Amino acid sequence: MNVSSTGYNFAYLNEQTKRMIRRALLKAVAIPGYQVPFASREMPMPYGWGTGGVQVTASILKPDDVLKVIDQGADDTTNAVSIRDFFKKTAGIATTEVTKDATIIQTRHRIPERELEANQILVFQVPIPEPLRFLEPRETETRKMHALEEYGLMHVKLYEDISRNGQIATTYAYPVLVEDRYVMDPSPVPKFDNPKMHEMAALQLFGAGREMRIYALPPFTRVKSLDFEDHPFEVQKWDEPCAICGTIGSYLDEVILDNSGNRMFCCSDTDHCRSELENAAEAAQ
Amino acid sequence: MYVAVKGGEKAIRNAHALFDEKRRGDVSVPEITPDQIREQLSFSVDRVMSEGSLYDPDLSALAIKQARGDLIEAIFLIRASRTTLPRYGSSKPLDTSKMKVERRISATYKDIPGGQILGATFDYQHRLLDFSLAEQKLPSESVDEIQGDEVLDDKIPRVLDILNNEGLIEPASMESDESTPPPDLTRDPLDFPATRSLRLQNLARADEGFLLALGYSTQRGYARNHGFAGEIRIGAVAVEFAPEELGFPIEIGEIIVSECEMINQFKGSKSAPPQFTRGYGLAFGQVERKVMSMALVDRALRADELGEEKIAPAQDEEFVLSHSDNVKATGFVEHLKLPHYVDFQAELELVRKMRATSQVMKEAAE
Amino acid sequence: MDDLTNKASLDGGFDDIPTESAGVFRAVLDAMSHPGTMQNQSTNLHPPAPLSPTCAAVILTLVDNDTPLWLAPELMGGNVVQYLKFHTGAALVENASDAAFAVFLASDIPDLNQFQTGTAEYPDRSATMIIQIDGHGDALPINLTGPGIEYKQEFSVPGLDGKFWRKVRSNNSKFPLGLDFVFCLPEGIAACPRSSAVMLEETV
Repeated sequence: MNVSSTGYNFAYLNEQTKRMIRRALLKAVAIPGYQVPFASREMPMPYGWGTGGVQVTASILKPDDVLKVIDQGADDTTNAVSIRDFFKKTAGIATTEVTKDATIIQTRHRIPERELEANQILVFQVPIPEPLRFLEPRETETRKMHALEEYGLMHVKLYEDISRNGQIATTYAYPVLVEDRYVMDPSPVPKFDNPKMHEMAALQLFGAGREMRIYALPPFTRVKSLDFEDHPFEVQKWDEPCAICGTIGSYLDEVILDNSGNRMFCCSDTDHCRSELENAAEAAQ
Repeated sequence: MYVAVKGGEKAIRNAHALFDEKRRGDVSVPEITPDQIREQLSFSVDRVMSEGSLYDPDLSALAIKQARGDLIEAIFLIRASRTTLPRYGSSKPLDTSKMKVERRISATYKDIPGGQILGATFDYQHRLLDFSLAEQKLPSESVDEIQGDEVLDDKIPRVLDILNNEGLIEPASMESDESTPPPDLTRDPLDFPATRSLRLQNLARADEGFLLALGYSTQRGYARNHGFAGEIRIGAVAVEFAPEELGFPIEIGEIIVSECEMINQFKGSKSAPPQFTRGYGLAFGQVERKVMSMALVDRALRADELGEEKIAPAQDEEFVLSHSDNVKATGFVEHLKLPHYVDFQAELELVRKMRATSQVMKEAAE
Repeated sequence: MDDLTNKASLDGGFDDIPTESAGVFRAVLDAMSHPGTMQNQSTNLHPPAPLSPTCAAVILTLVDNDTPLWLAPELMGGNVVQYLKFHTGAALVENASDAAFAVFLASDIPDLNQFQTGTAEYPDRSATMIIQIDGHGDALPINLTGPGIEYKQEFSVPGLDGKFWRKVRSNNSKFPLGLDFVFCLPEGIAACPRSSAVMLEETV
């Protein structure tokens, strides 16, 4: 048996566990948007810190994969660093921060700005996979609602938002309808990223460890953000460009600069920011 | 300026190094060893084994040392290590009637066949700080004398069997025979409604504090079912495993477990006469508080089965089973420390926009 | 059973299980994610005849003692059974409705109605069909559409005819319930999940 320098099996999980997760992944791909229950294991990182994503990644990794891990769009946030190191150590695979060089990208809360390609897999870390959970806390009830395609409650909630606030007050984890069948939680990505899920060329896999669910969007799957005819779905827009690379149209983080509240806006996707800067430098030469 | 949003690998490395230093504490004080923890902090070790779902006192002691005494963190370390272990099969059901009893008490009868065996207990101790423990003492032989050499019966009858003989208590339920493997929530995700054996597995791994609070709530009128500690027994039981190639069970070792059989009231229903009912608790090690709480919660969760009205949290299977695991709970509560600035940014924009809209509406109204 | 046949069924597994099965799984995942495309996959497995190396690789990657396995009568000969039991630990089931996985040959398709297609609340509790394709027979061209396919995917498998594809088409009409199909060809792996709509030439 292949044992890495750590004394653990390739990619940490034992083969029995990987097979169980792999079977769940295949079911998830065959039924886009449906949450497949799986016997999630305790991992060496805490629940809520990406155990679902880590188990999915560990189960799909091959030795020749190149892995990128991001949190909030950035490669160098603490949790991303920790997960990347975990796979470097337990699977001995190559890692990268460059989106286009990665074969597998594990992410928390963002989808890269750069369009992903057919040979890439995007793995999402999901805290609460059930989009109806905040409307109905009981699993027995929400499971029935999915089975009967009974999504009226969700529309009522969104419509109440509109009548109270004049707009839908959900800005991230904004629910989507997959292939006109299952309502799905896109994980807590800002709704800015929802349109990127629609007919994406890359396979999208979602892992929720604590809640023991896996779901998937195969390439080119139709993904529609829920909305109303008189209140169509809209994404966030910024009036200003990124303060670092000058790009317009990327998702911006607000950075507080001093105690008097001065702030700047810069790209949340650090690789996008870096490559835009390089492109600008090349163009200038 | 850009550095402001960077986490920085170096900072993480330094934090880990600092943690190691803090764990060691003042180096002029001798370093604690896992052996010392195993022998002298055995209640901590037992709790970590029980909630970590792995019977290994040495690993538990190591985990407690590594976690600087944070037991939930130690439980987490044990669970993560457990993940890497292969599964060979299920043991035969433990026969706790053959337990080598170290402690065995009943609150329902003054004397019982087999006797009340107090064993080592906090009960009846005056909780006065014993300052003599602050000093290191030389090993003494007195403990052996106290323990005595009385050989206890190898089969002590169960207190609840006495009630059962009179037909005053419901028979112990047998959900499945030995040939069907028990349900296992570490292999199949929890599904509702759960069977009683699956519930019991969940409760055996559950956080002691959570069960204690829920059990306590049933005593205070939230699904009152008035429990009596019918029998609590603690001791070593043999674990038997039947390898497929052998075809018969062999003893593979002994483990210490705590078992609590609670006797509860039942008013009776259309189909059943009034009788006592059972609540059950069992867990690794000497974890008396845990198994008593577990038995109370087990009984409360049988509301549907016994046709009782569900009015309290302890009776709510989805609520109890979904929130009992402290490794899950601590992970998700503590994940709020992770950066959320992308989501927060989205909310920030929304609040600004909504405030602007309401300002416009207000001005229009004026 | 003599020592020689015994040895043949105990050998012939993966040399390095973690890395080789990871490669096979990705081929199956790619096949399932891109229905009707061939994912080239070579393997060093030497299963006993008539089980093909590709088919053996898929079984060894996905099946174990948690997944009841149904085998077609042609595969129930001693060596294949012994080989699969040794390398997967799977329990063989007679009853097709107990199976999580079914393995059969393109030349003899069993009654697909006997396998589990899941329930409305748990559509994942369904069986996966692993079909061994030996490259004989006509390959009826069909078109697939649905998740995983950008516009339309042309597909054909030697030995699978209109009768078979009409069954797959009716399987799709039960979505989200249904069976998922994995085709094991000499050169690689292809798949048709329940989400793929099948168009036969006659209806195109």
